[in-house]
Amino acid sequence: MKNKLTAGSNLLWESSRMMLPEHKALLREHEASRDKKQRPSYDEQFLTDLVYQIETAFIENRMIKLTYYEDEAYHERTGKIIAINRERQQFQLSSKTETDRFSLIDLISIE
Amino acid sequence: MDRTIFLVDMQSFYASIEKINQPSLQNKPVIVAGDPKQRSGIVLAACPIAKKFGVKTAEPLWQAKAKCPELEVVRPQMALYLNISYQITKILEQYSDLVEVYSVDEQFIDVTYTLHLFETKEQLAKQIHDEIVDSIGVESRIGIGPNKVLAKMACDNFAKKNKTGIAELNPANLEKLLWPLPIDALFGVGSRMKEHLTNMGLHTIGNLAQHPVKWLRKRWGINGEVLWRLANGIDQSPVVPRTHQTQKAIGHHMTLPRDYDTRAEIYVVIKELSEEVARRVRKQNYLGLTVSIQVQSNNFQERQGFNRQLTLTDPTQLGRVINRVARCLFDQYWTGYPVRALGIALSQLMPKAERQMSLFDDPTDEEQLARIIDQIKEKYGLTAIMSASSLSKAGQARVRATKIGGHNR
Repeated sequence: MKNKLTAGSNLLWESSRMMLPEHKALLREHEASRDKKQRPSYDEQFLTDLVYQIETAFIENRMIKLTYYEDEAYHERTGKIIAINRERQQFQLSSKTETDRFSLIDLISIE
Repeated sequence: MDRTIFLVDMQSFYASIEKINQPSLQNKPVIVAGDPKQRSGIVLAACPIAKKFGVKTAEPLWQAKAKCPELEVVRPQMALYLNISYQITKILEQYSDLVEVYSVDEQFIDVTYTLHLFETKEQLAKQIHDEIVDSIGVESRIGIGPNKVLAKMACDNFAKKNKTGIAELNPANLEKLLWPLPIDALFGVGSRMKEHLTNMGLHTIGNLAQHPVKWLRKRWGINGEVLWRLANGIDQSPVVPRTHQTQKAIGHHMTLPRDYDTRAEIYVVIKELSEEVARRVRKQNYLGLTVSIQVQSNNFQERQGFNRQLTLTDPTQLGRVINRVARCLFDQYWTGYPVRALGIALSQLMPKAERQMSLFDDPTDEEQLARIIDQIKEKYGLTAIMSASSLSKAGQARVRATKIGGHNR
């Protein structure tokens, strides 16, 4: 059983503090928002690299693993690129079950 | 590795914020106090000018006014104070990610790994102090130590009393600075403990530090040894940023505007508290297993009142279940005296995902209904939907909805 003498325990301070529940809730929200991801912001060079990788994967008709940003989190998807819209900077990825459109600015990486 | 920890304490936090809000109060004696009609008429914070008149935190409003007739009394704005406290947390997080909020006006920050970016500890402390003044406008005092307890005691006993507002305690100056102080200057020693210790002839922190630990352990067990360690400046507790993440219990407590002495009236409040506890349990997606109720009588001398708990067979997040159990406990232990304050809590919390199927009843439908009611409350306010009993004279839900911690929002 953990007590106030246990090494690494914070019990001494946890049992003595005075915190309003509303204050704790605020801090919990703060912690949760820290885990949220943001849309990446890239420099020109990195974007050029990404475009190059997309184009080659398209030409070679290769299976790729995509990591992308959506709703404050990173997601992964595997599939083949079946179309590229250069004007809109978008492309379509087709996996076994579905086909979706992705924007260049949401991309994190391609493997 | 030696740690460096700061305790950052906001000077007369609530009163300072009010002075920033209303510059005309700047040079007047200001206190923040609750509403005497709602029985919350005590001094929550007093500015340094008011303190010079002898006004103390936690004394009744009338007493403070007697000491200083020209006192400016401001009603608290709790949401604002919490928000500013949170802004300060964010400022501190720029200096280290190890920030632990200890109370609304005290926060620990472990700067062990960022200290090398600054010339000295004092310089870093001063920079933090200055940034808080620049961006928030509130004065702070900073205690420095190799652990939390020395940082805290450096702040309370020295930084609050010197001119710079910054003080350090460490093993080198411990005997010289801390040990001569009276025993109740030690963190964790209250009035009752002070009495015990002085009866043993231990009048200063140094007396206690040099007392054989085994005798302290024999008399008070773990707590005796903890105090001995603190007196010797030993505290291994880490600074835990995520310490508020997990909760052991969710509870709600209220002091009634007048003493309630009929069962029917008290039932109304028990129901409201149960619903409020359940709502917060649901909000965090928990289930709880133990319901406890605390009842305080209006008579402080006779030890009336009780604190009882009961463990359920299945964990719950429903107000109906909490209410039933709390009522049952109340009926069992209440002997008819007027009730001044009531509290209800749900503990032994677990994430809802882990629930075992109950053999007897399936609460899913009821929980869904409760969730929808919660959503309505989130969107349109706590009073958008409530029990009809809350509209009776005994009901407190409407008043409560405008408060935080029993004081104005």
